[in-house]
Amino acid sequence: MFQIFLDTIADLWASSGFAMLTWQNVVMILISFLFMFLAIKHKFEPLLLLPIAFGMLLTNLPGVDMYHPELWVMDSEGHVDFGAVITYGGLLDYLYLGVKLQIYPALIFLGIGCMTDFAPLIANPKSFLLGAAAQAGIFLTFIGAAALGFNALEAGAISIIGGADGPTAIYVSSKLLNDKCSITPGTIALAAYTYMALVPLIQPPIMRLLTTKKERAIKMEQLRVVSKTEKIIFPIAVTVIIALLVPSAAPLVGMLMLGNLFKESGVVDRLCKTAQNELMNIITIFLGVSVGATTVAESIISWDFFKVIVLGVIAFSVGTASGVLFGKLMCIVTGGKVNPLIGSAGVSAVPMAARQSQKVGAETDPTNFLLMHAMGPNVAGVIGSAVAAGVLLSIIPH
Amino acid sequence: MEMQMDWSYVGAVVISGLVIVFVALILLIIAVWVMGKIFTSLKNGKEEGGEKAVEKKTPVVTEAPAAAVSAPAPVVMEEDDSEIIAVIAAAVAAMSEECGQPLRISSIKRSAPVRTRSNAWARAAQSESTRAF
Repeated sequence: MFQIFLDTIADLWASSGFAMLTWQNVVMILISFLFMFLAIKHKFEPLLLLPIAFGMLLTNLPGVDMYHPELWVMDSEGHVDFGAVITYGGLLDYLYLGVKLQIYPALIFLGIGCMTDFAPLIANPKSFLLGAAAQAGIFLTFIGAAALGFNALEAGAISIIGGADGPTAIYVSSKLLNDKCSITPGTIALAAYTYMALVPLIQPPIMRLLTTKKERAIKMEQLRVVSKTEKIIFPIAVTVIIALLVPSAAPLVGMLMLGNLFKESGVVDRLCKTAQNELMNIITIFLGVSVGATTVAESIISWDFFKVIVLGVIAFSVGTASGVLFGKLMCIVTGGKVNPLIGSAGVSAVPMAARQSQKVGAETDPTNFLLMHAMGPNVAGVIGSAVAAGVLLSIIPH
Repeated sequence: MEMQMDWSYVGAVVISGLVIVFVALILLIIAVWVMGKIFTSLKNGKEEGGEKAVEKKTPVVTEAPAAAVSAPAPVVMEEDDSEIIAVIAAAVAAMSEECGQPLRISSIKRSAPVRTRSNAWARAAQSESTRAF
């Protein structure tokens, strides 16, 4: 009887996660604790970083079998066997379907559209140029990624971090990256959201470095009032123009503008509230936990992840710098009417990037209120990064 | 890693990417600018039309000049100020609660332009808008 008891205990031990635990699992679990700490204690993008970190924890607990990377291996024609995913998958595999099929990022954009006021951009359409200039971070990082030996798919996924837009980064990386790549959408998401949380630390030194005190003190003219009709026409016009020019950007831009049309039309209040609250919250949970699940040990404990972290901060910094430099150019062209600080808001981290423009401007002159002026490039950056994402997807064969 | 890129491909991605993004957003600038011009001219046209109508009407109202002078007043009254009233009432209520006795607004004066951080409302607005996430 004692022998049976010992055998049972031995079997239980052998089938438990403790027996299967490797040092890589332990490291990953500790990293997930670190991200949870950053999200809870320091409020680093907690809405997404917390579910991502918890997804990371779940996927690295051996024996749990909630996510199976082997089910997402593509066949020779580049297709995933979705039948196998449904038959043999775990909970996180099912949730990850929404990422792989590009559903979640587009629905998040719907909610963002419902919450975004494009009036500062409509009032000052030149802001679009700053939103475009800040996307230079994406394309210049592509060069850096190529120099470090990444292939086209990986370089495209890494460079989109420079867009400073989480859903866009997940959208592009889940579409470009496959099982042959050394990085996963989870690693891209982790880097993107970490850097977005670090916007208040990364941007101000670059903004101060590239501008003079005189430039930072420039006060901009008050924006004109935008009529309701203009606000209603804007999302329709943007959808038509962008979808015709860059069709691969249509899922993101189209949903963003649909959400905005919900908001501005004022006739579908219920839909607007649902899209920006309940729907967005549900999708955020699914997106975060399933993207976190892709961060298996092999994808994080590697030199390539370290390179992604380095390239991510370069992408962010270059985006900020190119926005400010283009702002300086606009300042010269307009005879000093544009404060170059609003250029840094062209990276699409809304509204943190615009707040940095306001903050750095107020350091020089406390009576200078740049926030609304910076919101123009900031929301232009959202459209710009979605367009850049579409461009990457159409240029890079995947 | 497979599929190493040659530099001409990298250059093509970077240049075409930047050019397409700029072209797309410049098209949007043109569209928004045209839309803004149309609506601004329509608005100006309406205002001018309104002014002309008032000018035309003024000589006709010779019998009751007093009524013409007092005409703008009801327009102001028609505006929906309920939100502003609610905010002011809430502020007064909060202040009343703080000092323990009922307060009422007896006069409103225009303040000097804000030049320093001394204005409490400006400080509050600035702090709110620049607060870290």
